[in-house]
Amino acid sequence: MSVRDRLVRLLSRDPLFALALTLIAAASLVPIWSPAVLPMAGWPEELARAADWQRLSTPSFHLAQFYRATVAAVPGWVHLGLLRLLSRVVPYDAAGRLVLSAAVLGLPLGLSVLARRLGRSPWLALFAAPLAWNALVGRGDLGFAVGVALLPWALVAVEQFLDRPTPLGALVLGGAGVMMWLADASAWSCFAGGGAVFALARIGRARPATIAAALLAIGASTLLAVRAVPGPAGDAASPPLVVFLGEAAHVVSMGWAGDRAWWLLLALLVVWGAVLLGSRVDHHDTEAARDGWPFRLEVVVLSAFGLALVLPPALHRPAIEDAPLRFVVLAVTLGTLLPHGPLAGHRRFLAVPLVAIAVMFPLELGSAFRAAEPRLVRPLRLAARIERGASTLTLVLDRDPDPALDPRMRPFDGAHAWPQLYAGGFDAYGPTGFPLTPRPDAILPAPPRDQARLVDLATVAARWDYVLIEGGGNPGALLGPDAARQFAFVAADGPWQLYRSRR
Amino acid sequence: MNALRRAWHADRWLTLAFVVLAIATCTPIWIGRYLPLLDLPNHLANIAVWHSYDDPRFDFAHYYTLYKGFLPYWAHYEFCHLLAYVVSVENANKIFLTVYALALPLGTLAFARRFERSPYLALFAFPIVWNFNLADGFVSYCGGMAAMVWGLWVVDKHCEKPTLRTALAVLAIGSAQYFFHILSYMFFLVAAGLLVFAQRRPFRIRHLVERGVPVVASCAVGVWAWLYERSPGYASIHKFPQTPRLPGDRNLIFGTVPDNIAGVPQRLMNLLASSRDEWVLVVLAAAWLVIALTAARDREPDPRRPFSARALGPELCFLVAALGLLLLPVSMHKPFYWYMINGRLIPVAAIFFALLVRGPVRGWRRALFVPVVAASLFYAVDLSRMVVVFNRHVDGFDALVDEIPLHKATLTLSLPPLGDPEVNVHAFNQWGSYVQIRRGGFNFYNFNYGFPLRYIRWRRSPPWNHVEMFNFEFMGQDWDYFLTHNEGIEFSIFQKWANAGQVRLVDARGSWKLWQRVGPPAIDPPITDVPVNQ
Repeated sequence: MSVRDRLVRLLSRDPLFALALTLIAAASLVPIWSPAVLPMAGWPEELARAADWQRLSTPSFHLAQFYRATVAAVPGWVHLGLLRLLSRVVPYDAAGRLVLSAAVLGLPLGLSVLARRLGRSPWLALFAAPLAWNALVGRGDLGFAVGVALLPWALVAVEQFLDRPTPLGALVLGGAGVMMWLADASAWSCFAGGGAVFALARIGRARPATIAAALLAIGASTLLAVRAVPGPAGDAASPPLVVFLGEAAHVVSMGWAGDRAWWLLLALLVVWGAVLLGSRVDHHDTEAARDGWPFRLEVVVLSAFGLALVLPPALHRPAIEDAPLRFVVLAVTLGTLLPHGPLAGHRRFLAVPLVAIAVMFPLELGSAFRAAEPRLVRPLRLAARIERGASTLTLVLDRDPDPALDPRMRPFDGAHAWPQLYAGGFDAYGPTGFPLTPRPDAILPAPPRDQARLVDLATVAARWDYVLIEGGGNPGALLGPDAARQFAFVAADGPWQLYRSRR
Repeated sequence: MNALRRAWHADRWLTLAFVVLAIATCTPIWIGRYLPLLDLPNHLANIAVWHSYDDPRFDFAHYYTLYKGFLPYWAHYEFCHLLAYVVSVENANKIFLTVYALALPLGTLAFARRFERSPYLALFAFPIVWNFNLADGFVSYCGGMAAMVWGLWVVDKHCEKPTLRTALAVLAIGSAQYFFHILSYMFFLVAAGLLVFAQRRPFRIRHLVERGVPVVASCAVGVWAWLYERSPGYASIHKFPQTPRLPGDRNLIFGTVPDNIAGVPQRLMNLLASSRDEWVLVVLAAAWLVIALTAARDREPDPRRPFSARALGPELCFLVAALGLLLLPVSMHKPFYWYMINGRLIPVAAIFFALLVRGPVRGWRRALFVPVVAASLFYAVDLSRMVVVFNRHVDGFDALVDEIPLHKATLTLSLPPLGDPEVNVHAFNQWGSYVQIRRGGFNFYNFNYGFPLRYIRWRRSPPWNHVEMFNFEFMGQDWDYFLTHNEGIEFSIFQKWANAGQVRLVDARGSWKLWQRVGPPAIDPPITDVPVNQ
């Protein structure tokens, strides 16, 4: 039975689940589509990366003089490729929202299919819906969002192949591995390790040749990882374990200002705990043991969490930033499916608070996004006034959190990408590595991101076409006493000011 | 012995695990003389002053008045005071700690059995004995934790079949909670109230009276203390009956929900400076998760038995502790200073959390407790090793203290670093109390809260947390001896005065130096009004 058939059967067998999933899906789209600007710092950066890649050969954007293409089979391909593809039909921002929507909707859907495959209740997948808004997505890591969403589908493909091994199935599995790698390295690691566990859990049930073929197909994508260009050696020290354990909870989901998001997540945890502690199966756990060792998912989840504990903050090969945090999210996301047994009898009422929270969470998140919108839209309005092909130096002096958003979110950290997205040119804090690398001889001078006040801005800014400054009381004063001679004031919007060079 | 024999026959593996872990958990208490627990020296000094107040060797009456009001901490102090007629104050405290270390897991075991949870789950209580509250030296509170678990056991037993005897037992153990610690007392009252209402037909007047009156009567001692106890700390509550609970108000310091959650590992098992105790925590958490997951197989419905809220006893207690962690303030500045409030509930929450798994543990699932026992044993052995190494680090201190004559004024200054490489607390913060316990006299850093002692004389000395502010010219004449720890590591105080001939080095051993002031004996300070800290 194909995945599509399974999905249709799953939804038609349990109309209440289908209704709940629809409600949650509808609510999940609210924070993506209701605000004019998404507040994740990495959001404009991702859009600009895709746009730069697409526009590199368009002369009017003046990108080719600053960048060269460095396209390789590395993580990031999937979401940037999708953005490029969709941008032919819709603007980049809408393309990004479409990709994020697919990721946010695909995660609980994929987990529900995986849950069924592993003999768990598909209702458990709904616990993961708010986790689609994890802190890494909160930073705007679209690649990770896509990777996490693809993971359950890829694991379903493993189970599918182990059920009915065919050459086509092996190709699909190999393709799933490649897709996972090109989406996100941490999600791919989870797929490779998890897939291997799933295959080995069939020992004694499936033919050895099938298991070997599955392992080979899953392992094929490791060739890409081995051949990948290593990332920079991270020098950040791991936090003490006691600190990491405490902060691991912070990464599971983003929230908004105040404690309400945390109360919702705690309520979700309580419901999950009630499901776990009240679960009941027959003595052989027949459902979970139907297609293999019943605790194979537990091994994957505990291994992912174990990796989170032992990995350094930045992995060199394959290059993964914030590796421990990513594996925490992966472990928790898959961990939602851990409870065995159906959600039956009076325990079915636990679905009521579950659905309520899973609907409320994105609605409130969307509300917070909209509340931040008037402040977030300011640099966009100014960036829209920049001439095509101009290079803009963006300086954010006040990095205070937005009063409506999760204090961990720093939406203006990515504001430097808006001018490049609108007009092209060079961005001092823009893409490096895949898919574009700055040409060393063309790099324009700029202060380190958080030290704009410490350098002689008048000298630095003179090489740029535009300067976009936020905060600092009188931002123009930072440009020095000759500012009026060197720069023409273009416009101001709240604490943002745009200047054009008189060169 | 009979109980042990019966337990052995009932389940020899569980009994063996209990005995081995009990011995291992108590070993760190006895393996070395000194325990590196933050507040412990000052509590011992309180007990020593209480116990030897009239002993002319120690001159305590010269410097302090004694107030033995019925206040929290009383259980710990009085227990040690009485035992100190037989053994030293330090050993009396070790006996108290041993009773606590045994009572907590045994109480958890009794509680688990009472609510039909697997007795194996009580094994999780052993590593929690050495929680961070103990590292902070909150000995009374830890004792209160153990007493509270037993108290809730008694409450449920009484509710099941109320008799005069069980009612008196509830009243006694409920009131006794107050004498350990106000927080464990409050927790007990809330959790006990919930247990009363969780019983069958709770709102029948007769049931409510029979079950509830002893619990309500346990409040009496607290209410009495609130209204009439005139110890300085409590009296000040009357001055501020409506302490505001407003955001930004600095009387009560609240943490955010994520901060409170992030503090859980730090306040659960974080005594050792290494990460090994956190790894023990990770193993315990993973084992608990697997035990909970596999419990689905052993859980069978009993159609004859109707649902009873009483069966949710551990869940209710966990809920109280968890909500306490999330809703109570982190600390309080007025009406009196209270360090660490909500975080103290983390080990309590952990105890009841361990008991949340329902259903029996049998067959191969018993093997899932092997990592629990192994991790707990490893932790206990690591703690014992730490105590041994710590005692090696303080080597020399005893010999120097023996060189200090009685009736001399000794200022003990612990210079930075105040901690020890083995532990996560500033173990030497209050070390001067050990000198006071053994040589008597004045200590510039006793807990000055009005109970059980209150200063009536004061020798000039630096603030306890800024010993670098010691000014020899201004304060030196008040002292005969100066005992310093870590002098010369970050800075030196007395070498300059030794070069000037004002002090002489009596002896130096390890990281300790004993200096004697040259000149006439220290001046005797007049009786003065030393305000208590609030």
